[in-house]
Amino acid sequence: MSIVETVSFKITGNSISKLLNKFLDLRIKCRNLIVSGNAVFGQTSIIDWKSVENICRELDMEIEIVEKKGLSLNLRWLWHRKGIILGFTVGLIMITLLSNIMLQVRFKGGNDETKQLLLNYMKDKNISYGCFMPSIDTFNLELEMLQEFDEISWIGIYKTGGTLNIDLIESYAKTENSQRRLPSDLIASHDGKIVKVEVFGGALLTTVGSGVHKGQVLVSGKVQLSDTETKMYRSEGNIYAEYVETVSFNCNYEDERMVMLPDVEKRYFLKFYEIDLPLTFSKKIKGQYKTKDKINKLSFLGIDLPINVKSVEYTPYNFDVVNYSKEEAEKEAYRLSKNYEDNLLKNCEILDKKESISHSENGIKLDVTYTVIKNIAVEKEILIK
Amino acid sequence: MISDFFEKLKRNFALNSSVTILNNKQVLIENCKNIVECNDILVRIISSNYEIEVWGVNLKISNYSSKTIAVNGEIQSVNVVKRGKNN
Repeated sequence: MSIVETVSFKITGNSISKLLNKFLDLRIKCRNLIVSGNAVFGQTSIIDWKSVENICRELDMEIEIVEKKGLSLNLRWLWHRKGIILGFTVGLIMITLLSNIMLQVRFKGGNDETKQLLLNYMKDKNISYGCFMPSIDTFNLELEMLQEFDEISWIGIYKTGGTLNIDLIESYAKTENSQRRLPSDLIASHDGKIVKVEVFGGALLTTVGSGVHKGQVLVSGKVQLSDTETKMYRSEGNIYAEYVETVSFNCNYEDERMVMLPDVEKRYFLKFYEIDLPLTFSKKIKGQYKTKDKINKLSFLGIDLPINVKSVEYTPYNFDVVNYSKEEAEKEAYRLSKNYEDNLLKNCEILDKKESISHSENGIKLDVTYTVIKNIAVEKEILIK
Repeated sequence: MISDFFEKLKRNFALNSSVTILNNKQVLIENCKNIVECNDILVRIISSNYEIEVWGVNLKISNYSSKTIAVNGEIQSVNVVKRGKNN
């Protein structure tokens, strides 16, 4: 079946020879011309049909359409179903677009930190989700990345459809092995009373139950083996001492705090691979806000689809001056002391805790005196002249 | 001498008529001037200096380009007769 519509015709009249010569002179393409008596049967394309009609009119011959054929004729019904044409066109555009834009970046190898570094680098070079794939020069990108990042020892970038594949091998930095075993002492970091001793190297210069000052040598690296022979060692060990420390926690009655505002806005996005397409059209959110993402994963027969619905909750905030009452300020100071204990004293055993609160014009001051048991041994190199 | 010159000229400018016979199914005639007769047993065509007769059964003609005619059908004979004063 020809794409262009063809018309089968029958021409009757007396000037058949003239007609055929006209076809020849005017370059009208006809096929299967059969002359039978006063009639000519043949086929021509719809393009030449008008000329054939004109010739017949000129020669005073009768023309009759016998049949019309062609793909365009068969597809004419489509004209009345414009939805199909529209859908087909949109589909074609979508396929063309989606096969030419970057939908995802797939990494093979590398840790999350390196991946993020590379993604940020590509973003600076305008290579991000949604960019035009044929415009990415993978060869130069590989070279640039190799020069830019010491973390990478080899990188291979190639494109498959809308995916940018990055194969990389990281150059693992050699850990600096501390080969130095310089002779050292263990000295006290606080004033206190020794309660427990664990010595793995060096000579212990104190005993359990004795008091020590800050900076006092607890374990010496200089070991006298005999009257004449002295050897230097690296001291190792844990010296636990009981000591007292006082920490102050202040809380002003007036303080600047982040206040979350109640106007929470929710926006929905259609997540197609890594591209977020907004599902709602609304004004841009202004000001400072915190975001919270939630992705509802869609699956079909247990297979995760690349299309998901993502909801983002925007909670605006600003900084306000907060006025604390006396009780609230106290509560805040106690909260700070609790944080201190949880973080800085987590490796210590707290034996006793004494609290005293003092009020001033601006706020309150909470002094906490801790009696703790802690490893006070600190290594200090022995400098040899 | 002059006739040789004209022959050369015709050849160089592709003005000679050319007849191509494909088995007994098709005869392709290039540089046609006129179709004198056309029916299912005979197609008579005038080319530059010749009158070409194609005899056969169920003959159909098709013209695909300017001055070129294809005669399809069961070809029985092709006669080429020289036209002009010397004939």
